[in-house]
Amino acid sequence: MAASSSEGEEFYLRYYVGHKGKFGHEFLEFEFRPDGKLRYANNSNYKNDTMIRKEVFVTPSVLRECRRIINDSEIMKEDDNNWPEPDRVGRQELEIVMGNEHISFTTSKIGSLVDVQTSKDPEGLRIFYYLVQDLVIFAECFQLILGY
Amino acid sequence: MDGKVSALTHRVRSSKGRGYFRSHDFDSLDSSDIGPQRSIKGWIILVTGIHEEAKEEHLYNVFQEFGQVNNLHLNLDRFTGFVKGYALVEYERYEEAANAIRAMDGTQELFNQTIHIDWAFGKGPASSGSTGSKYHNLRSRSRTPPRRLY
Repeated sequence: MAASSSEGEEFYLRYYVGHKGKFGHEFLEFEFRPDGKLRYANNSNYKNDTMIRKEVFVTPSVLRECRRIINDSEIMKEDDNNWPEPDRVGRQELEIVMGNEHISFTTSKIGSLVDVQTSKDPEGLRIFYYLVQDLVIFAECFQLILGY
Repeated sequence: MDGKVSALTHRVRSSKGRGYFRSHDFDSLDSSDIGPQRSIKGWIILVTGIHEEAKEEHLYNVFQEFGQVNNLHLNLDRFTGFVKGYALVEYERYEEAANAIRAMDGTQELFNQTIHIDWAFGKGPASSGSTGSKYHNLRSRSRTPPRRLY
């Protein structure tokens, strides 16, 4: 396991992905705040303009597991300076504070692994590509189980 | 980014990345007022430390011993295809979830690897050093009604 973060450390995670698709502007954003508040918003224009917004407090155990996922990915060692810039079609933002380190990465939407492999930093972008998928699944799990 | 988070990012020793400047085209979390989610049903626990080859059905059978499992999410790692390591288990009743935590937290019964279990949702903001046992789900419907004396 990568150097683990200690319990008393601050933790913050925010992920945003937005794009201009066939059905208009769509975005997904979630945030794990240091006090345990999970904020989640998903705006899909498909069919009807359904916007899902939820807020709930999660326990320190949840934050701990989130940190574990991030630590295992080793994203904190990466940098976005060679990643594709966001464009008219879409953007992704990943912001993490873990203890003394802060990353605020911005890049375009990644369509598939081909985009990763043909980029100027395939190693780093691949880590980002898989991590954000894991984080989205993680965050969505908590909001899904809430029901409506 | 609000003040609290902004203060957090100013306390760090190292900071990397382009940062962001949100164009007006894209909506985001902060653009409207939202309140807390009220309609949470069931009692939900988070299991961590799950072995990567764990099978969902096995997990279900183990946790079903403590009560009716209404929901079980065992997510996969997108890169490896193996189990990511955590699961959410939803029970109908508080006692069932509490018993599962009590009986299984810190044990190695599943796949010879230590698992940890705690509540997933809390009532309010976490203060540092607080333990999971203080927290439980918000519920919008009433719990099992108290015994009535007819």
